[in-house]
Amino acid sequence: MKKTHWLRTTIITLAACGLAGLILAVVLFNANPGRTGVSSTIEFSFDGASDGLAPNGSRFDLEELTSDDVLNAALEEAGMADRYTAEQLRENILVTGVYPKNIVEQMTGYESLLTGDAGKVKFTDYHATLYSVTLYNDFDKGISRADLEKLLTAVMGQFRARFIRVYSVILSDEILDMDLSKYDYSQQLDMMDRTLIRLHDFAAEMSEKHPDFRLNGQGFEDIAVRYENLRTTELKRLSGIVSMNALSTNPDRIAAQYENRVRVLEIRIAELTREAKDTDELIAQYTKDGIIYVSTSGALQQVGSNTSETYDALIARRQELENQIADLNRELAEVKLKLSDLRGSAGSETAAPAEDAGEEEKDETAVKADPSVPAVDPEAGKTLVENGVASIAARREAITADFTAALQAYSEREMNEQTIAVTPVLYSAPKILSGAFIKHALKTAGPLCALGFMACLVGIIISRRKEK
Amino acid sequence: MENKERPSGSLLPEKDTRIQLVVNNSDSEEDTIDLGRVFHNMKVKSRIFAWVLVLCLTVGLCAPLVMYQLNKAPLTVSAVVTLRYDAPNPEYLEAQEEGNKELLKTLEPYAPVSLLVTPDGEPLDLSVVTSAPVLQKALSGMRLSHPVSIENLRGNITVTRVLTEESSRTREALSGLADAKNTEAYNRLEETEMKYQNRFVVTLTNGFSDPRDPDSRVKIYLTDEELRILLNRILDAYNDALVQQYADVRLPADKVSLIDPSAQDLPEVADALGVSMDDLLAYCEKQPESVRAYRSWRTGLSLEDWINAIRTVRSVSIDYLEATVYANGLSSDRETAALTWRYRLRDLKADLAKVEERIANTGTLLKNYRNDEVYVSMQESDGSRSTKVTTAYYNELVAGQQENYAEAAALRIEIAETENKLARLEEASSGGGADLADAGEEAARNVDMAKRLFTGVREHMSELFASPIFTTYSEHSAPQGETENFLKASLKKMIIGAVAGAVVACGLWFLAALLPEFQRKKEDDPPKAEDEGKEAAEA
Repeated sequence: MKKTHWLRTTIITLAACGLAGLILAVVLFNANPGRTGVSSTIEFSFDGASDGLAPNGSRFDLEELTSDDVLNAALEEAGMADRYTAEQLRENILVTGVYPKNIVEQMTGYESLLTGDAGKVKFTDYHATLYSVTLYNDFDKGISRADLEKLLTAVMGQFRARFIRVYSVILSDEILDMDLSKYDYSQQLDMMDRTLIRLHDFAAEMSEKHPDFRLNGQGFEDIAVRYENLRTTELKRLSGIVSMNALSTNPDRIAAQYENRVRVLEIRIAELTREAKDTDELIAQYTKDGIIYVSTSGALQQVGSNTSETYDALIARRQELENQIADLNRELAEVKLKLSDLRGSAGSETAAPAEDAGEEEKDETAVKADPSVPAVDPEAGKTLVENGVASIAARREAITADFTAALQAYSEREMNEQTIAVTPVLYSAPKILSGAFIKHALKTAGPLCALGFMACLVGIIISRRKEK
Repeated sequence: MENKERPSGSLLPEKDTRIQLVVNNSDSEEDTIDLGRVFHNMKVKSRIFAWVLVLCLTVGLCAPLVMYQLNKAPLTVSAVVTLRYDAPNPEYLEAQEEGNKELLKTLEPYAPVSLLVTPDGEPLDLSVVTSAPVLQKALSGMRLSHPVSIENLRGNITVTRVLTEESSRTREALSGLADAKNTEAYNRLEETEMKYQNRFVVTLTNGFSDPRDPDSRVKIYLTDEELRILLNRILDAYNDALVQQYADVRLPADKVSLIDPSAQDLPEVADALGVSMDDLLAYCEKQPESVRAYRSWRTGLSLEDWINAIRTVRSVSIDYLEATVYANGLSSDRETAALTWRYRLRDLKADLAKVEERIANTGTLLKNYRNDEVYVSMQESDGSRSTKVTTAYYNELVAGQQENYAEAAALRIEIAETENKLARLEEASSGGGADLADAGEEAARNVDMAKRLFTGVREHMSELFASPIFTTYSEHSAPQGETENFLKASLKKMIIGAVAGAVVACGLWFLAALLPEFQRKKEDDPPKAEDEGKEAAEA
């Protein structure tokens, strides 16, 4: 066989095998073409994201991306709410966190002291901050590329908006929006006091978590101080005037409430005291276990002690009763003081406060003794109180407006398009010239070409031998 | 053939020297083969055997690739599951056992879980990962290229616990000693309780039996992507199972909607308002710290804020109404109201009597109970000492007695308050119609406030229960696993195959060159035998 002849035969055989392999690859590829879809990524880079915590301190979860709220809103935005349902989308969305390679080994591996690798740093805990989101078109194979891209873009946009909304810190001024005019002056001041305490505590909580935050030179600590100042100066002063001058819209009614409260407290104190006494007897008759410690010197000595759980539980209950009785006594003293102020009696009931009396009670006693507390006539007093309440409410609203602005600025700083970054969507579909197909074709055609080549070689060898 | 003697000192053969291969055959005389001729034959056949070499090299390179495809190891994907909930704090429990009261004051009884335990502190049962409900949920709605049954899936899942650092070091140290034949170390290794971290590894291996033909040895394989998605869904379903089993998602009981000022008398309304707010407050206060600190994204309020609001309404508004109702005897039907209180009082007193009897009986038992006495003596000493130890039953009696006292105190408080209300209702002069109407309006306002409070708390808790705090009890990493690139995996074998192919080709080449020499030898041997015969005849 001449050289050109066998060379030609080899080339034809190889080409034929390659073509056969390619045709087979196309057939197999089209039989199982793979999924068409669009994908995007979302990355979180705010403080706490690597610990799995949202800016408001709570844990966040990408499950919300497939919630009804987000998907329905996305369908509305994309104008496809009448074509598809949230359930259809949910089944075809895949959300996966991006983790370092070998995360399993890194999080669970043990570094032996003996091999000297114990100093190697590894992950003790890991939260993904980058997530890949893919939407497949299995719910409607006929959906166009543009529509699919629009849909995923809408989903990502709605999720980011919802995330910012849910994990932003907001403020609620009034919980129940009660009509204060329906209540007596002391009650109004009591309610305002509790509201100011609540707002102060929230500002203090934010200050502790984010001490560095500033808006117009003011941080959360400054806001907390303003609330506290309003409470301890204006409100306390007004409370003193109301209390010391027995200002009330309906003194008999408020007195009846105080008297009822005194009765209830006295009943409770009496019963808890009786229970405490019974508990004392139980403790006294309970014998704790002793321990015998055997020493090696041959003499037996009893040393140390062994607490038993039951005994400790009795002591703990006794302590709890004591605390409850103390709290009730404190409240009883306060109510009695208010009642005596209302009745206008100055005497034994207004003696020096008990040792365990609260600061408020001591303050009131101090105010009572303080001649700087103005004495007012009832009519003027009522006007004073009403104006005072209105003034405190106005100042509180001003501080709350600043607090709200600060919270909003803080939320915007933490969560925005940079800290929650979404990449543009990418469309992927199985195509003849795609990388997946080329790989598939090589895997299919390669063995056929190899077989063809081997057959050609055998042919050449045989023909060469015949020539010989 | 003749061999010329080699001149001494020279290693190289001279020209015309023949190199001979001596082949010993026991049945015949020595045979020799000229290697020079063999090499000459090889040179002649080189053109053919070049192709043979290429063929053998090709076979040697392709064979490992074929073997790889036939014996490819199935893909295995793994993920780490980390538990995320609060559980009894091990440090707190340890301090409690040791009786270290100082340390107890500084520790919280519950902390984020650090060991492999349930929220109740019991060992976590990992078989739930492969339980039927979890796997069923994972497979449900999933379109796979091949059907997979739950049994097959279960068989391909492995769950591996992870020892804590301390336990790992202990085991490493004791294992080393045990290997050195240290019996005590071996016993300690057996007895030491190993602790596991709050994470474990779940592995899913590809290759399932066909559920339609379970006896078939042919395995079905899912695609790599399907395998990863399946493991992801299994772990999501496991999280849901944990949440369902352990999350306490009870909402507050609705006692407020039962209050109807238009249908009920004022004392009853006031009483019901008080009880409903007290119960709502008790529900909120028993929630753990982490729940109370959660702030709603809708209202910005935490449960602590709601607690303060309930206390405010209770003390400022409801107490105010209650005091007015009883101080003025405000009731549309005082007789019926008083009757209701008396009836209730009777029940309370009956309950108190039962509790007091229980207290008396238990007191008698405690007084007469004799605890165990333990005597201890030593061989070296004649003396012995004894001590009393309380039995578990005695401790139970004491704890039960304490509960009886608390129950009796609560009943007495309720009795006294009821008697107080009844007495004031009976003493008060009859309230005017205008007062009754005003109080009715106020009661309606209070009921409305109570309903708003209840709704607020309920919505807050519903939002909280739907948040990741209550829906995520375990997190898992993305399933990872890759099959090695087929070229990389076969590279070593391909090199060995190529070398083997080359060796085989060279061997064949040599044999092909050697064979003609044997054939030529046979052709030369018959004439030699004839010559020998002729010589013998002449002799």
